[in-house]
Amino acid sequence: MEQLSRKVDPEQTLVDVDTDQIDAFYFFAPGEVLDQQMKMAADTRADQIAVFEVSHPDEARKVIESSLAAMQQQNANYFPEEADKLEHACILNDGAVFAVVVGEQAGAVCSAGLK
Amino acid sequence: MKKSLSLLLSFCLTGCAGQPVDSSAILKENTTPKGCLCYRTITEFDYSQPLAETAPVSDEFFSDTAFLGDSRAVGVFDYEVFPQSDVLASIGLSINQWQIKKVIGEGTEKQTVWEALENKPYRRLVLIVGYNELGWEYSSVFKQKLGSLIDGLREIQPDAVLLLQKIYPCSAKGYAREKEVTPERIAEYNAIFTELAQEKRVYLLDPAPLFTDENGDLRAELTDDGVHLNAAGFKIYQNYIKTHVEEESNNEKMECIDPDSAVDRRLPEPGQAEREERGGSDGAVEPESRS
Repeated sequence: MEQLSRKVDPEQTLVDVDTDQIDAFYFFAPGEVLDQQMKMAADTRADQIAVFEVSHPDEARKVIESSLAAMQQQNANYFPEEADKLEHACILNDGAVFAVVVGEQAGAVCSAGLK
Repeated sequence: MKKSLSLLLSFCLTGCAGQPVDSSAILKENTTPKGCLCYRTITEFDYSQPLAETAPVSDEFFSDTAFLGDSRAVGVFDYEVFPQSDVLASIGLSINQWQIKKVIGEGTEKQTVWEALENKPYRRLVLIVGYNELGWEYSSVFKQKLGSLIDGLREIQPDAVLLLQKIYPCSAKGYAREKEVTPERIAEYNAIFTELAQEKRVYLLDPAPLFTDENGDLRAELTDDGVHLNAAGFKIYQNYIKTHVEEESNNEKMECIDPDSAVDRRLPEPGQAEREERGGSDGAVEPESRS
């Protein structure tokens, strides 16, 4: 998370989301997530970074994509630029670990990959 | 007898009859053409039901009220529905963002909804939420988060009365534009509101019956975009909010009976019921009865 945060959010504008609130953004089934962290913009931007370690990697991407779609729909009417960021979010995966990046740096992060 | 007294108290004022009843606590702004007001006080409140119609309150009643939530709450500010109130709301805001997104206020002084609530006490909080959460994968998550939110509000605003407004429908045009919004989904969330209102003892507001057409959709003339009320819609909403308040002193309005045939149902004198049960008077004066 810290690596991603430095790359995506060098000015540290994103704020931590309490762990017990993350399930209101990403709709994993109970018990599915072994560990998670999330940061998001404190203003109306959709920018965020989320990292998950999951039990069933096969299902996790679908959950992440549908969760991003819900956020995208929520932004579509009022913040179309933010909806566009969500549509082009970067989802990285290495085994049971998934990272999600939403923001202007998402493309660059995806190109660099998850190490 | 004590239980029936605590459950239901009915009385009628005729004014001109000079009844020795303290009317100051119950006399409200409106009167019926005959000059007779009838009120019923229900002290055993059923939180699963939306607030019943009451006499209208004055604008001053809302001076320490805050409307909280999403774009449907923002309209209360935009249309100056209750200029005496605060509106702590933002377009696109969902309840999981109340402690994260600094969207309340102006310029560099913006706060989150939570920070705003921590900085100023209110007597009443009206929650207008749920619409932006209709797309959540699990409605159970919404119930859990909203329940936690209510618990949190009780901690930071311990003296405030909480009112939870049920989600009113969209118009046909609105449903066409909103992918995740269906009448069924709204009904599902409104059922959650009812459950939470009972569990958490929160008052329910439900203006939807005043807005809907024969299909249960938001009437087209009350909205410009199919989702949010316009000026005409907020006019109805304003009157609804002013006539559906929770304070016991406002009571529930009843149909006024014909004063000429009114039966005196005023509260008996203390001890009278027991005397009657014992089968006679102990010398106490029986109350007058009106025919």
